[in-house]
Amino acid sequence: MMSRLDALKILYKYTENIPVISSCGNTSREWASLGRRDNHLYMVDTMGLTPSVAIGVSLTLEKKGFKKCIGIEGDGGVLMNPNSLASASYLNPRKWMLIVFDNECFASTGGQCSLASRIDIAKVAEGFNLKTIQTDNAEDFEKAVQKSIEEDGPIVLHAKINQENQKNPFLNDDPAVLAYKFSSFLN
Amino acid sequence: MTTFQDLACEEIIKGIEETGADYLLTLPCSTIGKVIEHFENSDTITSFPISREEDGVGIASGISLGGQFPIMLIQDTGIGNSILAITTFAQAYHVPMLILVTRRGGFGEINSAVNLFSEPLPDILDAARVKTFKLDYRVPLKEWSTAIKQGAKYAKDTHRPIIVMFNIKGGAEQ
Repeated sequence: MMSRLDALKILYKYTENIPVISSCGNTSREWASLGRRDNHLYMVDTMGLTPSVAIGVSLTLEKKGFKKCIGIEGDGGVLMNPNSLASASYLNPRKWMLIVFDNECFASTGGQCSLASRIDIAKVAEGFNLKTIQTDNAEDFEKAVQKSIEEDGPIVLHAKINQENQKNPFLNDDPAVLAYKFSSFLN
Repeated sequence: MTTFQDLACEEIIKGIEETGADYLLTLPCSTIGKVIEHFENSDTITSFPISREEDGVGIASGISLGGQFPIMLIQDTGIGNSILAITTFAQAYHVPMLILVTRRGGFGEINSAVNLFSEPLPDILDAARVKTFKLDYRVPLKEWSTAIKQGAKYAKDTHRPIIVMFNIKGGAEQ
């Protein structure tokens, strides 16, 4: 099974001109370690909010050239805010893409078991009438990223990953600067 | 007979329209049903329901980051499940939005539990340093639309969420 960093490296290759919002904790730290870009919005708190923010951004992209707005969230975050799946289903934002990295644990806080160890998040998303792709290895994940970016409609990419964490420095930037760079990129 | 609530709803509608907002995100309150119904049929503002206020703050933040202006219309109880998103995302990331909040609790409230959150809410917002303007019977109704319009402008000018809270039931300050 791939690590989160393996998956992020693949995603990085295909998202140079696509807005990407990453969830707090190790996900944003590993994502930033690959090289910072202004099309990245790094969340430093508010676990679970990434899919919601990506919905809002994707609504504003209708007349812009970006193919998608991608939110990256963990299994713990999605189960903290399943409301975002309801909103995505209801609003049907065609440029919304959610990647759920599912390691069945809260990796950023030490690997404590999450509820996802007994819940199939892809089925949850499908229950909200969202198109879903499920992967458990790097090769399939890469294909799914390429396919999902071209998809005309909201899509959830549910990627099973292992519980490996990379050691990276904390993101201690002023959030206002993070938002300013991202917003300037979008507008 | 036209009631205080009817007149207040008209002023709130007028105020929202004058903000020039692009989106209105709503969770209903019986007191402002007319406002929500009005914007469901609007050609100028895109209106949609949200399932929970925290999700709404996230969606509104994304809209704002994307260069458009959002307003959320919720009950004050909804601040309880969105204050983390308001403070550590919208406020920390300097994301402007207007949050219109109807008051629960106080005279006229029949719910036997909601007062335990609604009454201390102004103190909670003050402690969290979320700037809140309050409208009630002491502010002439004709000023309400102006306050809403100014609230939106203030959110943009000061790069943060601004709350305008109104007691539409009438009665004394709580």
